[in-house]
Amino acid sequence: MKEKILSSLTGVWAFRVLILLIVCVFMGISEPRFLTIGNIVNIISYISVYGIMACGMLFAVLIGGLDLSIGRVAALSGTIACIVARVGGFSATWCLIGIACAIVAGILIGYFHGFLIVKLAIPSFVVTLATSYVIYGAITLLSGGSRVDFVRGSLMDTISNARIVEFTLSSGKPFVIQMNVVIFIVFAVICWYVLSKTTFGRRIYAIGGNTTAAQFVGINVFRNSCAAYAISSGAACIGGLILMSSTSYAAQTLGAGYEGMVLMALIVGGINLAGGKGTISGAIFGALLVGIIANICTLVDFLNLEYLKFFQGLIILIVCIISVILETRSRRGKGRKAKQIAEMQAQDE
Amino acid sequence: MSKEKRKSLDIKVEGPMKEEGVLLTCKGIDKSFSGVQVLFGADFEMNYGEVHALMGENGAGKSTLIKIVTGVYHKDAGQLYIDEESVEISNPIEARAHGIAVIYQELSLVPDLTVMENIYLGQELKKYGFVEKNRMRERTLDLIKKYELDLNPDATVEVLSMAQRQMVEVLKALSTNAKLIIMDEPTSSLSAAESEHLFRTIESLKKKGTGIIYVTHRLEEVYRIADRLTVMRNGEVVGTLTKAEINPRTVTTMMIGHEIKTEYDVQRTFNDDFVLEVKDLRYGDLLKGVSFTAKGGEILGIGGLVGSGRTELLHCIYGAKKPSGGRILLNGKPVSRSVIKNINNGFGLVPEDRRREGFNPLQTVEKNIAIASHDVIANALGLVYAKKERDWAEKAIEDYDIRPKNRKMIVDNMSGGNQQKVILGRWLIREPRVLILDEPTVGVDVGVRAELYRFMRQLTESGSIIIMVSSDLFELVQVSDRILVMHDGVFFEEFPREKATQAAVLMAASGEHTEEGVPLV
Repeated sequence: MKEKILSSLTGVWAFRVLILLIVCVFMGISEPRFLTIGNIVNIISYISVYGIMACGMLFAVLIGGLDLSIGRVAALSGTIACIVARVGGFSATWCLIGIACAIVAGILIGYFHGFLIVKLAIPSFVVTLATSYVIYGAITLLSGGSRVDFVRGSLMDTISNARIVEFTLSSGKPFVIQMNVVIFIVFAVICWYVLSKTTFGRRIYAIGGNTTAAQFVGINVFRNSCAAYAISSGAACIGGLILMSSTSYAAQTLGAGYEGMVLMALIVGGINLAGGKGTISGAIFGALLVGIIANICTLVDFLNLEYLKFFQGLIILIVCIISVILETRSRRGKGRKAKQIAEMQAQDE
Repeated sequence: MSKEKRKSLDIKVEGPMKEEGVLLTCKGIDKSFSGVQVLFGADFEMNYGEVHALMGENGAGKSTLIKIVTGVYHKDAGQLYIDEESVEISNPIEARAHGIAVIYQELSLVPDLTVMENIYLGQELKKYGFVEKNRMRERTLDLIKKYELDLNPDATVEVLSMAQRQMVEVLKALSTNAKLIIMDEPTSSLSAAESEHLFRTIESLKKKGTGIIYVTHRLEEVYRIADRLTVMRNGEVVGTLTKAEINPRTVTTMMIGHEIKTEYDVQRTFNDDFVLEVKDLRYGDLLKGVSFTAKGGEILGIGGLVGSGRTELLHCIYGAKKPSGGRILLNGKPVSRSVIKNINNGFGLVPEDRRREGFNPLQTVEKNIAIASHDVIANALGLVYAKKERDWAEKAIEDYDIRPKNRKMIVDNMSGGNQQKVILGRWLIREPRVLILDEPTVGVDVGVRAELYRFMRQLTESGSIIIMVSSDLFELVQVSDRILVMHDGVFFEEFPREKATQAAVLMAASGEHTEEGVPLV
């Protein structure tokens, strides 16, 4: 038990919490507004889209792939939902139909990715980068290049902005938890459950760890990989719907660059880009860190919008470097320890 | 490489001069690794213009001897002579300077570069810092013409056949004026036609005076090209035979030595009600109509050389490869072409290369064992019961004595023997009806081997079938109830347990009929 506590203190999570704390304290000192409850709720709301996309892309990364199309898929999903719902004048039913169409489209894109990547053995980044351009073009064709507004107060508004929990704090400020946060948490829990409690999750890790070995224990690599890419695209669709809802319109530029941020979130979260290793909690941690850094960059006044991306990238790069170094070090340490144990036991024999 | 040397390369465009006499002599070479002696006073001699074959079982010391000659290892005692002058070769660069080149099984060519670029890789001819493509091409063409090879210097290596790639390797060696070329099992990845191609290249080299040490497992190749044959066993040179003296019986006896065989005390009973039948199975060029019947309770050993189609046969039975013809029946019913269906029907496969095909190195023992038993540990919806998974893994760890006894251990950090126990245990715990083993004890120490054999026996005592492919003749003869030897895509001979000897199995694998075996072709 004592060893357990000790190992948890020196483990990856200790390090993650430490980084979060350092970043938060640093932010808190340099910008007092950062640590207000309102802002924290704001951050969680802000990262919900990253979080959902990171959880989804985690599946693709776990089988050893990448999905660089998620930003464009997100834009596509908002556009499809709005265009379809517009047919029925944004009535609740038509909104639901639109949402369903968007998600189905996303899943189909994911299966298409899976087909090209697994059956034709084209590298995943090539496939998804290429389709992201195709999708961008498709959105322009669908929307005619202009943004698609939806009717305020319709179901589309609800996706992100509905207030699920709302009360006034003793300080007199409102405390609100919006629908997007609820969707994020529910989605993350489902992903966690699927990855850690189901045979599908086991298969995903097995494929990423050793594809040939997975085939030899009867795992259908094609089918499961396709499902992983479909989850990635599907999650991007959900993220895109929230994005569309919170910005109150759909446009081809929504979600641009999200694939990069999500990828960084995954790297910071300790997910092995070669596949087979990584957890939902890591993905969420990564999304949280990326989100906090983005948030502080908007809070601090002296950073003009032009500098924002620069500092955002720089800070994430630094965190990535530290994170990767520490992670490999801790892993090596662990490996060495385990090997020592194995050797000792072998000598006992 | 120094400038001077590069210049000297430039001058000798002609390649090695035809020379006579003794090229290389090794006298009394000893070598130990961490206290274990692997070479005992090895003597070896070869001449210019000679093809000298080197044979021996795995672990006989062939590779060690070659690595000493090429400067990869340092000898503990003994002396090397080149052109009858004593030399010290302390690293591969010195070996190259002495005109010794090696062509390994895994070729070291860059597939994206052309033949010429590969030959001059790292030793490009340059003038004022510019690569002189034309001069390199000319010299490559000269070499190609001289040795009458069928190669285009501007072809990308990627599009070449394996035999042609080997020619490129040979050319690469010749471009550095090699007079001794060592080939380590060069035909193991070649088809028959391609091998013939290589033999012609070798003959051409021989005519020009190059000496070739040819390491092989295939007796028929020794007949075909070797002038002399040296056989090694357990780190000693058993003897050298001239072309006239080479015959299968002598060679196999030299390779195996005195055979010890433990006798069976138990009378085995086979169950006629449970049979696996393979009829006229075909797979590409590798399997040309393979048929056999295995009965419940039997360990069926399959022998043959690497690349003879044994692994493909196993994969076809298991459902991992699609045969191009033939039938596979279990109790008269066709075996499914889906791996997962076969697993649920009681099949299991321990693949040849455990690291590449066997286990997931990132995962724990528990997950690696449970991955083949989702039908047991999860419900129909695919929800895994953590407790069932844990108990399943712990039972396997206990029953098959997997060390360390820790289900959370990452498999990559375990010893080879225990890794193999994990992969075997993954199936044994399911009590499979047909267990297929491909080289089950490669890299496993002797103690663990005995345990694995015991587990295999236990399984067959419950009436299951084990089909085992092995290159380890001792294992094959000791463990199998019956041995089928593959040669040239068909079963060549069958040995009942009582009659099987390592020497006989080895002979059959080389395509020579024996007195002990029952001929099948």
